[in-house]
Amino acid sequence: MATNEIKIDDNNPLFSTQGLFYKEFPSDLRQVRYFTLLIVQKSPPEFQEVNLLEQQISEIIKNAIKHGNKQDINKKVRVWYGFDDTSARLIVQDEGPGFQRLEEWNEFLRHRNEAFEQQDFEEMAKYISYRSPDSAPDDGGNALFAAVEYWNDGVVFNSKRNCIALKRTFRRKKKKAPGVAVGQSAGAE
Amino acid sequence: MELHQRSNGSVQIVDIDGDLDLYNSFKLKELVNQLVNSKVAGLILNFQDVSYIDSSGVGVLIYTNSLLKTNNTPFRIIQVHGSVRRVIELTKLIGFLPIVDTEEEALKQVSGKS
Repeated sequence: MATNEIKIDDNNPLFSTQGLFYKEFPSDLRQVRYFTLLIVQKSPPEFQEVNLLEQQISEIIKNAIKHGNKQDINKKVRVWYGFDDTSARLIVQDEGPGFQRLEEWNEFLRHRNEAFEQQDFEEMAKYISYRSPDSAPDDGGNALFAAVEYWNDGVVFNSKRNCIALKRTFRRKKKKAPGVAVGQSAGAE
Repeated sequence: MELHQRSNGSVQIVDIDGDLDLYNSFKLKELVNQLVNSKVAGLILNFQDVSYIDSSGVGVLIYTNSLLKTNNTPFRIIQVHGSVRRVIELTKLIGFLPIVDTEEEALKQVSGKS
């Protein structure tokens, strides 16, 4: 299984904002769920697992507020987002110094994934949560591990590392064949 | 989010009701610390009424698992479903965290071994 990692690429098409909606929010953690609901409202009604989509978007915005803007209420989080029938796109930019420990994080993820693939939970325990000197006690240290799995069409930072772009492609709903009994529909996630 | 405690023999069961996220997961962490200080013999966290978890909530589960392991106290998580299960799957913690389906199964495991 290929190991996911977060790349740096200013020219990645995921940074194109064409056709995307735009909102900017203050760095107020108390309002993140509300902000995220405003974004998810635009997703097509056919989308399943909307709660998970909301959760994953809110993690990225929380990261921008906590780690990027250090909860400075005067600093804004800028968000571009868009949906079509089969995919969701998100770009989140903060006003912070950027994720300077990205290479260290990618290395940490590689070890974590190797341990998981071998189901070596003793080894995995060493890589279970990513902590940096900036980590707060209530930081889970695991949001981006889920993000690189969820956003299955790419997770990329700009070279300043304060802007992240992500895309998830959903599986299409299987159409029922006439006259054929179909069990559980796979559905879009 | 509310935490409701009950006992089954020497095992403490905590029914969690509501979202386990940045805004309230500290409450669960505090309760776990209290239970460990009071030398709880076993702990089961019931997620039947939890439909939302974020990375802070997942962090508290990792913390709880580690703390109880260090204290050699049996620990299980039950009734994990919906997007909460998906978040734990995405974080690759299925298998790492001691998740079982039912309370009955968890009680059997927690009471039967350390």
